[in-house]
Order: sequence, then C-alpha cells, then structure tokens
Amino acid sequence: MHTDVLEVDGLCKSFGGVKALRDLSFTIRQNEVLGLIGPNGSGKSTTVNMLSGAMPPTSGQLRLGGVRVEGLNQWDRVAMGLTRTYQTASVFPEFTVREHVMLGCEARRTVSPVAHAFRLRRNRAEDRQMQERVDQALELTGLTGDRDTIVGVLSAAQQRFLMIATALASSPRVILLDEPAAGMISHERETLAGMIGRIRDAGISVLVIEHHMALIMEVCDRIVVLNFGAPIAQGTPAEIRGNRAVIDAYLGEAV
Amino acid sequence: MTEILQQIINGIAIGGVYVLIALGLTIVFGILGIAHFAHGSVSMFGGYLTFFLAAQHGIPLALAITIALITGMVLGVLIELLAYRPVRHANHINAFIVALGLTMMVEGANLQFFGAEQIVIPTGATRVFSIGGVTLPELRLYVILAAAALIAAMTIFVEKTKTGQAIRAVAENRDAAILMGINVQMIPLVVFAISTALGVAAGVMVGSLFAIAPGVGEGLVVKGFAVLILGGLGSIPGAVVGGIVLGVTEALAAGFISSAYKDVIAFVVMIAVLLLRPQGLMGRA
Repeated sequence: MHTDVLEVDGLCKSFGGVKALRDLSFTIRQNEVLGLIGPNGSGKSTTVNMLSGAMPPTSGQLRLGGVRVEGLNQWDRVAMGLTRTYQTASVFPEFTVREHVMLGCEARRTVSPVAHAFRLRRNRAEDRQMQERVDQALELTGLTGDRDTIVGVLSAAQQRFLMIATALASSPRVILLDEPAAGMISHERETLAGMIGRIRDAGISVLVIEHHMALIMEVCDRIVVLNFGAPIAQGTPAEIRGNRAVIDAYLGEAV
Repeated sequence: MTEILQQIINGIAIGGVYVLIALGLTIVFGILGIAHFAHGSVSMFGGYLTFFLAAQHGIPLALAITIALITGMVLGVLIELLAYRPVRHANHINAFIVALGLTMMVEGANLQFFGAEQIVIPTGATRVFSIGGVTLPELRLYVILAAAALIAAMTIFVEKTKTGQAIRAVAENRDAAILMGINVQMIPLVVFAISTALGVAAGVMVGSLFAIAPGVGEGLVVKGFAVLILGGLGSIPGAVVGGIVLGVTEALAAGFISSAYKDVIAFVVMIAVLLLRPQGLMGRA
C-alpha cells in the first residue's frame, strides 16, 4: 500500500509560443525515489522549477499530501515539506557545517522570534528537536565527522552534500535533487547513491534529475522520461531500459 | 593642532550624513544589485517635508521628524513595489533607467511641492560648546550623536535580529536563503523601508546643518556612491568607515587648502585608495 505524497497533474508550461512542457502527470509515493530523465531541453529543469515554486505553471495542478500548492511561494512550500537542491552548491561559506545545517531548521520554526526571546520552555523544546534534526541530517549525508569544519574549505562534492543536509533539516516530505551528481567523480557518486537510499529509508520521498544513467538506474524505484517537453514513458528501471521509445530518444542501444 | 582637531570634528558631522546615505545605498545594492540613484532626492524630500511641517505648520520638530521618517518608510516600500519590482527579472540596464527616471520624478515633485527656494530647517539649537579651544556647535553635536545612534541601531538590527540575518542571507545567496524558508519577496520591502528612513534622517541633518535646495540631493547621492566604492560595495562597516574618511578628508581639505577644492581632494583620496585597494577599504578581495 503506497501513499501518494506529491501528485503532479497535467502540468504545462509555455514561454511565449514555446511549449516547454506539455501535460506532465506523475506521482511520487512515500518512501520512493523517482527519477526524471530526458535529453537536454526536454523540460526537466522547468519541471523541477515549477515543483519547487521558482516559476508558476501555465496550467496544471500540484498536490502535496493532498493539498494544492501550485499557487504557493517557494518558501511556503519549503515550510510545508517540499524542498529542493540546486545544480550548483548554494551554501554560505563562512559557517561551520553544523551551523549551516541548523539554518535549514529555521524554515520550520514555529516559535516566533519574539516568543523565542521570552517563552523559554517551549522554545527549548523546539531547539532540542532542531538539534536532533541537524544530527539526523548530518548522519544521512555522512557529514557528521565534518560537523565543525568551515563550509568554505569543503570540497565541491561535500558542499553539495551539505546543501542536501541543509534541505533535509527542514524535515521535508519530498526533496527534489536537481542534477546532484554533476561534476562528481565515481567514488563521490557512490557516496551520493548510498545517501539517496538512506534518505528514502528515513521516510522522505526523493525526486532526482540526473544525466548519469548508472546512478539513476541504481537508486530509482521508478523513472519518468521526458522528450521535447512531453512524457514518453514511466516505469521501473528495468522497464525503462527496455522501452523502445526511450532507447530511441535518449538512452541509445548501449545501456 | 587645535585646528586639525576642529576640522576633524567638522568632518565627522558631515561624515555621519554620508554614512547614513551610504548605508541606505549599500543595503539596497547588496540585496537587489540596484544603484538607487533617486536616494538623494528622496532624502531631500524628507528634509523638505520636515521643514514644511515644522517651519510652516508649527508642528514640534521631533514630531515633524518622526512623521517624515514614517512617510519615508512608506515611500521606500512604494518605490520598491512600483518602480523596481516590475524590472526585477529584466536586464540590469532597465533598473538603471528606472533609477534615473525616478530621480527626475522625485526632484520634480520636490520642486513642485516645496518650490525652488533654498530652505534651512530651524532647530533652535544655537549654543556653542568650547572644549579646550575646539568649538562644537550644539547642532553639530546632535547630528553626530543621532548619526551614531542610527548607525548603531542599524548594525544591531542587521547583526542580531532574525530579519537582519535574513537580509544578509538573501544578499549573499538568494537561492540558499529560500531553502531556509526566508520570504525573499518581503525582504526588499523591509530593505527599502529602512534605507529610505535612513535617507530621510540624512536629509533632515543636511537641511538643518546646511541647507536644502534643488540639486543638493543629486550631489549627495554621488558622494554616497563614492563612499560605497571607498568602503567596499555592499559592506556595512565599509560604508561607516568610508563615510567618515570622506567627511574628514573634505573638512581637512576645506580648512587647510581651499573649500573650492574640497570635492576634488575628496575624490583624489578615493582614487588613491582604489589604486591601492581596488576592493575598497573594507571590501573582500
């Protein structure tokens, strides 16, 4: 029995006369890693930008846990449990790793800044919860050992892991990973693959956009394939690998 | 020696005004990357409004200044919403053109509402203190104290409050700030409200220390940008140090060389600093 966490229903996006995305529908279930693949210009980034709220859809619906979110701002979606990472590491270099991940918790803080200063007990309880979330996010991303390191001195790959950890600290239900492996070398990709598995096992649904097919085939439970702004296939990695249309459009015979 | 000290004190007063103008420009630049040229003219509007309320309608000066500050905040919010937000995602040249157009509009509005006459805000602060041969007019002392208080308040706000930290986060990395749940559409409104209020405070200081007339605001904004470049673009400590350095240099130049050359010498110092430290005094390399 699966529960749908994020439902995408008939999503369309036009830029002037150009239809960047036509009628995309899929769902992300609980404890699922969903891959979104396709050639360059097929509409993957447009999709993730609409899911996160960076750009409004031309038409279509988006439901997070049954609640429609397509009209909400990005930060409101983060507060509801829909977060993302970016293709390049978007981090603040002068914090320590731990402080940085702590910032991610702020998205979910329920005690107002004024109450923060006065209502000590409730506030302490929330701070304790935040500490736990930070520890969990560090553990999931394998950064526990680097918790006191200054962000600026981390490697490029570690900064990307930190971006994931910071997003996880907002206790998301769904995390959108936009090309998380871009520029990574093979052992870093392996670390990432293990991380994505652990995130799913922690009960968080993952949508991953990626060009590295071995990684996609390894970590995804299901895959959606886009071509020229339209979905051409959905299915398990094995089904996608054998799908004629996908082979012709994107994978080629080698995979 | 006494004379040098005297000029330094004079310079600190005008430097405080430069700092307030530059702080307003630097937080706007830091968040939106906009060179907000209309800032000086808006500041002068604040000075004019204070004069209009206090001198022409007999409203107590403190109340008049408070009304001008609040009006300034509202005006700042409107400027962001109506002038800059629509060109937010467009090419930077568009915001540049909007800024120039806004400058002309505000200058025109000032002329229309308050006339072309030079005005001085009457403060009634006429006492002169003398400390070891250095004279310090009461008004100049108040300006220095008020500027110091505003600079301190601004620093505490930006460093210590959640909103201030959110402003810095957005300035540094808008995308990362969104992931922390920061409302990045609200931040520019707060920034413009604060920036314009600081500008109005500077306008009131100029109007009471010197005089306000058409064109004064435009001159002031040029000085403000000079301070930004001197101190380091987007840096708050840089605006404070740069403003004081520019004010004191001008005063020393006026006192020991010639007041006709004070601007020239101030800009020569700026060029010299930039030759040695292109990132500005407090800027990051």
